[in-house]
Formats: sequence, structure tokens, C-alpha cells
Amino acid sequence: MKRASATKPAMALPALIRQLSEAVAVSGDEHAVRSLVLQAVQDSADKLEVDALGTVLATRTGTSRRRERVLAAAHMDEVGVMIVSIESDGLLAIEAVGGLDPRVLLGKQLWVGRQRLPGVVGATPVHLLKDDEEKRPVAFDALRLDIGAGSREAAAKLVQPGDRATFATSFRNLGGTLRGKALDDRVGVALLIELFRSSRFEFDFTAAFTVQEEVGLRGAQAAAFAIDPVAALVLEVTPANDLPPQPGETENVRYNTRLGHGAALSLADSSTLYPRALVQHFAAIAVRDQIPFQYRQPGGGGNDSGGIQRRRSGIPVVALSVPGRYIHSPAALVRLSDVRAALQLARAALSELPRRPARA
Amino acid sequence: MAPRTNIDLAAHLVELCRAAGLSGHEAPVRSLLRKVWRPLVDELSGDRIGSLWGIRRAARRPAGRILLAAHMDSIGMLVTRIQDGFLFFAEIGGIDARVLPGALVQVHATRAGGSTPLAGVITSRPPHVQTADEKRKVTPVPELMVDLGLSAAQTASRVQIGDLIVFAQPPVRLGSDLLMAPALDNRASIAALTGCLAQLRGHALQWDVIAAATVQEEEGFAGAYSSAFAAHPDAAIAIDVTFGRQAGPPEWKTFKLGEGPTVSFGPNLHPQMGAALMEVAASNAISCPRDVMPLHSGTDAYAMQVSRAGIPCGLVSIPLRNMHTPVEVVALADVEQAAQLLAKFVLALDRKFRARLKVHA
Repeated sequence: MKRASATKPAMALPALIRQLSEAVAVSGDEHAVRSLVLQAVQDSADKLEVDALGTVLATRTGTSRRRERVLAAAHMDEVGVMIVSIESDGLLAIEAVGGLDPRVLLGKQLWVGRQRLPGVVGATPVHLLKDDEEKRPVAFDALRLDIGAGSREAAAKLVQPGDRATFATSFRNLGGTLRGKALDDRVGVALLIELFRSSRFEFDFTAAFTVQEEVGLRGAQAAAFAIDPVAALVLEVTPANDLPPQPGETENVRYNTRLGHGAALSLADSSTLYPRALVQHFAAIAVRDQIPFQYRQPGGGGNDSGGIQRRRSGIPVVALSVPGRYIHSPAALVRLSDVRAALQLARAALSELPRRPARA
Repeated sequence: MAPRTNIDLAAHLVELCRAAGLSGHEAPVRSLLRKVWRPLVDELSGDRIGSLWGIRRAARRPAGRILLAAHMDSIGMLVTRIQDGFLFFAEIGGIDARVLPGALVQVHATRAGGSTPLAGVITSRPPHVQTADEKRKVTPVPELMVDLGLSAAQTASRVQIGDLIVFAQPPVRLGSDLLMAPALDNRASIAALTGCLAQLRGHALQWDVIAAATVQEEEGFAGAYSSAFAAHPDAAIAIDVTFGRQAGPPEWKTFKLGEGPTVSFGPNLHPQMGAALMEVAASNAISCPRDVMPLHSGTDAYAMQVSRAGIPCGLVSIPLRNMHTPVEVVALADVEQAAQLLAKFVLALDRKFRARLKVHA
């Protein structure tokens, strides 16, 4: 006979990612995801707090008496827009929150405000565009969000400047591939929840579900200072850019990571040069345990690592990412096999973390 | 049981927008419409290329004949090439390439037989990896792809060249009286036509009425040419959408949503048709702004006007925002009012109207 389990069974990973992806949490307004995170980790945490900026810090005490601390971070926030003004015709002027290309907003539905009102970002009909307009990328200034209000007074009853909006995208499991909004970094959040609930390490382990990564790695900086860990791991979704070659190219040599090729280890990006020893520890474990992994091509972009590395007297950090196509757009794609590889590698590498990570 | 004459036009319109029906591939929307129109008309018929006609016969002969034409096709895309599991595509109808990156689509895959809808997204490059050149330009359609999230082998076993791609944006109510959906151009007018037929139910008519849901308007008015020839009407009215007031275009080119369907004037339209429509609007307290068109109306009226020995045409239009994008928007009140205007116009047609169309003053 099966023994009754004391804790309720954990949600399957795709279902957890679905729930997190469909929650709305544009940087600075992470409330909806924070609630889900608190609910998910409260039973496993020995210590649970929300810091001054809104980051969730959940700690599991280690099995060793040495009381060293290790931090793992995933950011709860997503890119989106903020309503900055309500105009006389009831249309809303918007600005980007985070690195959002105005071109992917044109002609898309958004969820507006905490009440998730439907709205659309209008586009001048192609019939009325002048020749050069059709070829010129639209500017943020020209975008208007339409919630069907008709007048400033009617709109002001529904929204106010400061309200956020993001893509109205329902999550889909396409069979091995997951499609959804804000997978950067809800996939990381889901991984961290799973890792936290299923692992107890020798060291004290703090999972930081950070705020405001997309607007300058804000939450991670404060969390890293507060925890003062000997090493840190960032769980992320990083751009793939693994599309077929463009006309004139024979091969895509611009890929950043590739879907289906495993979890990605960062070497260098615009915010961090990663300590070689720590990266090599993760790579060696992946090779030994036959966990698919790849290196993220060094280049632009960054993540919470940049915020963590420079706190206090310096913190060795490694970034482990799931490759994602079309991040910062209405719908990103990640492969479930890469998500599972990242979870397996994070757990295995942390379990055998060297005592002096930076010098390992 | 009494035949249903009161139709929930909003629900009908949502259903119409959910049905596929790209230019040249109108079968899904046509079969939906056939079901809805059957109880409203004396006869269902059509032209040889797929336009659907709902015919109401006049009570007495001889009688005049009017053709009410709204196109049922919509814009979309077509798979042209499959590479590494990605689908390259061509546009059907005039699509604005600017709205495509990141758009959610549905691919009607036919290689495995039947038509399986597959969820996809149109490619875009995030700001992190764009080159300087990419930041400055609008990615042209030939450089965009649909990503199904499937492996190359899975894609190749399901999708073939020629498969259709439609926008996956579901219809959504915006505010209290607006509807947002792809394909509202021109399903909004089809709904108005349905509403007109519902209102004519039970009335004895002096003219024959042919309500035509035409095909292939977006690619050259084919269904309007064939329907106008085959129906051989004394007069015709095209029902289409016009530009709604929104951010971007100049105010004088657009009409506020909710302030009524427009009636058009210009060389493509017969002045007496415009005048008669305005009279009917005035006597029934229907607000109808005048929409002036110095050249081509860009509607089925353009084809119908020069069918056979020439057909006097009118044009009634429903203001619509964001035309030819996945997020078109109309006011449901304008759809209701267009239905009302068409029905009242048909009921006002009498023996003298044919003579009036000979007046070119």
C-alpha cells in the first residue's frame, strides 16, 4: 500500500510554468507572481521573508554545521508598458518598462492594469501609410493603447497613469515546446521553486525571487547584500536566436543559444564576466552526469548575475539559462527538455559545490 | 415553432470572426453562413466561384432586383517554403508587415489529411540580439517565419506548401460596446447583412433581394464581378468597412466609432443611391455620416459598377479601427444600424425607384 504523503503533491513543471506565465508582473508591480511564489514555497521554507523592495527570500537550513550560505535567484518581473497619460479621446499613451521593442507591440492585445482589462495597441491601417512609413519602425511615442473607453472621463474610471500592461497571451504546451508570455523569467522562477522544494543542501540555501531585473537588476543587488552568500546561481531564460539562415547567409553563425541543446552556461555578457572555476564545475558535472548543456555565446544582454557579483566584497556567480526564442515579445518558446536539463544540472552542481567556489 | 427572426448580432459576429475564410478559401465561413441564412431566405444559391446568395423573392412580378454584397473573405497568409521546421509565407490580401513580428497565428496543416490547426508564432528578434541594421528597418515579409515549436521532422510530416495561416487573436469585447477581432473586415458587414435579412423576414417585398457574401474581395473583387454578372441586378449596394477614428491617420479620413455607418459618394457610386440611402437614414433616425471617395472605393462596388451594361451602386460602410491587423475594432451599434439602414432601404424600394436611377443630375 502506498504511504500517505504529508505534503501535497507538487504541481507538474509545465502546469507550474503555465500558472506563472499567465500571471502579470511588470517590473515594480510583481504582486501577482509574488503571491504564487509565496504559496509555492511556504511549506518548504525554514525562513520566509519579503524584503524592502518586494523580493521573496526563502531559506532552507543546511545539513552542515558550517552555516555557509548559497543564493539562487530568478526574477519575478517581466517587461511591459506603463500608462503615462490618458488623452482626450480616451486613448492611453504608454512607455516601455524594460527592454521592449515597440515593433512587437503594434497590433497586439494587452492585459491592462491589475484588473486585466482588454486593450489593443492600434496601428494605422496599411492603406493610409505613406511609402516610407511602411518601412520605418514605429516609435514608442506613436503608440496608443485603446481600451475602448471613448473619452478621457470614461478611461479615467478604468485606469490611471502608473498602471501597467503586458501581452495578453494564453500559455500553450505545444508538445515538448512551451509557448507563453514572460517565460523570461517565469521558467527560471518555476525552476527555482522546484529546486527549492526538492533539495536540502549542506549549506543554507536561499532562493531569491527577485524584483525589477528588467529595469536594472534592482532586486538582486539588495538580496545579495542581505544574504551575503559564498556563491550564487542565477536561473534565467536567455535569447536563442537560432533561426534558419537569412537570405545571403549559408549558416546561422549569430545564434546565442539553441533550443533543444540543453541548459546554457554563461561565460561573459554585458553585465558579468563569470568566474571560470565555477562555470567549469557546472560543466564538469553536466559531462559526468550526461546532462545536455551548451555555452551561451559571449555577448550582449545580462541578468541578475551583474547585480549580485558586485555586492559586498564580491560574490562568485554562475548563470544557468534555458534558451528561449522571442523573449520580450507576446510569446516566447522554450523546450521542456532544456528546462528539465537546467533543473537537473542546478541540483547536481549545487549538491557538490566546492567549498571555495571562486578558487575551485 | 416560429422561425427565429431575432438574431443576436454580437454573438453571430463573434462566431463569424472565429470561422476561417481567407480569400479563395472561404468554405468554413460560407458553411456557417449557409446555416444561419437558410431560415431567413426563400432560397440559397451562389455564383460559380464560391459566393453565397440568400435570395428573398418579391411578392409580385415584374419586380426590380437589388444585390446587397458584402465580402466574406479575410486577409491572411499562405505557407510558401518550409526550412528547418520554420514556415516561410506569403500574404493574402494587403497585410501590414509591421504588425507581424510576435503575432500569434494558427496554421491549418493538411499534409496528414484533413485540416489540423497548429498554434504558431511569427518570428521576431529580441532587442538583445538585433544588429544595427535590424533596429532600423521593418522586417519584410520574406524574412519572417512561422515557428510551430515543432522539430523539423514533425513540421514536415504535418505542414505542406499552400497551407493557410490565420491570426489566432480571439475576439474580445473592448469597453462596453466595441468588439475587437481579426477579420472584422469584413465579417462586420456580413453580420449587418444577416441582420438585414432577419429584419426583412415576414415582410412582403416589392423587389427581389439577393444578399451576397462574396469571395476574394481582398485579392481583386472576383466574387463581386461574378455575383453582379450572374444576379444581373437593377442596383447594388456594397457593404464594407471604412476607416475608424484612431491615433495616427488624419481626422478627416476617419469616422468615429458608434456614430453610425457611413454612406459613400464619389465616381464609383451612383448619386441617386447615395441620396436614397441618406433619405432612408433620415426618415428612420439613423445617423449616417457622408464618406466621400474621390477615386476608387476599394470595395466590391468597384467591380459591380462596371458589370454587364453598368450597375448603379451604393456603399454603406462600418467604421473600423486598425484595418488589416489582428486587432480590428468596430462598434456593435454601427453593425446594428447598418442592418437597420439596409432593411429600411429595401422596404422603401418601389416601382418608381428604377426610374430614379436614370436621373444623373
